[in-house]
Amino acid sequence: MGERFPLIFYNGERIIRTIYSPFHFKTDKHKNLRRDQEGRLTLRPSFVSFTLNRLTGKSELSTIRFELEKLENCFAIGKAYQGSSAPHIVKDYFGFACSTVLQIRAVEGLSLCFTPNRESHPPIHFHTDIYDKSGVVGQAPTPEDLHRKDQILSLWAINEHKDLKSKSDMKPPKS
Amino acid sequence: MMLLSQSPFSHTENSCNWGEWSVTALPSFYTGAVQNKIWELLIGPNKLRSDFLELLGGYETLKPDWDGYDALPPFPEILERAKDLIQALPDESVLPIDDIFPNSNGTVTIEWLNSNKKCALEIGLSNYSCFLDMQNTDPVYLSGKDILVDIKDFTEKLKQFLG
Repeated sequence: MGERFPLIFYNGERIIRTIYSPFHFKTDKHKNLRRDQEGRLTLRPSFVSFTLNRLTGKSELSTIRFELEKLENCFAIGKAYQGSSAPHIVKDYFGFACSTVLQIRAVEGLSLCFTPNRESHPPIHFHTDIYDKSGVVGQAPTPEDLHRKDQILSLWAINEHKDLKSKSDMKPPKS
Repeated sequence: MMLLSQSPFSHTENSCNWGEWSVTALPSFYTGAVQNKIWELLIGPNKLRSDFLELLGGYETLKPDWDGYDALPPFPEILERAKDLIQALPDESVLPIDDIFPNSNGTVTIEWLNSNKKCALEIGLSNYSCFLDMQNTDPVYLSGKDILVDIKDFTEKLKQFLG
């Protein structure tokens, strides 16, 4: 349905966002990824920091409509944006965080907009922005919005690249 | 429960080599204040403080797009304020710091964790905001212009909150 009516999002659609290591994870002083007591990696709330787009004036979180994109293209897009973060730190493509349209819509204030990016290399034909209230560059949000980041972070499940053999392997968090 | 599970440099393995220290897992009854006390005895707040300052120093080198999503590097003024805060915090407020990280809009967040309690403080150019969340109870929200001006009140609330 999404392919025929790209502006319509159906609730069961999976939405993914590329995870880069180390900065999207909690790490130790040597930049080794930290795991919790169950052995799970933990995303930092900064993973869901919405970036203010000066052109649109909106705070956006870049994602991909997973049902519409080929798995190999998702890998290619993830790898294309890895690179240097600092003189001695490289951001490595790690895998994807996955959520669903239903889970995203359940958070007050969030909305989805299909925003294909055909000029990027590689093109992201099924790029989608999640919009939130507009933030201000260099300023902390309200305490309520800061707290809300934890709620938004809980919408995402970590899917490591090596575990993704087919599209059915991409798992959102359990509702 | 791991001794290091509340520390800024925790691992899930049964032991962790960190500098000259090799720390092994502790029984699960070592929680909260007891855990922090043991951590303090082993590592010491001053070592932690200097590691956090080093971490913040490392963030000074971040380039634009450091996160792969067009993030801004942290503003130098914000990093300086965060460093001043780390220097000014009493020892008991340094020990439960779980993480310090930059955000995509140039701000910096400091997180404290202790059992099921979480406090997050985001520092901006001319403001700060903070929540203290204990689960099962309503969170406490704080905000202001300069965290260094409000540090006495903030650390008092943090101390009460973390117990």
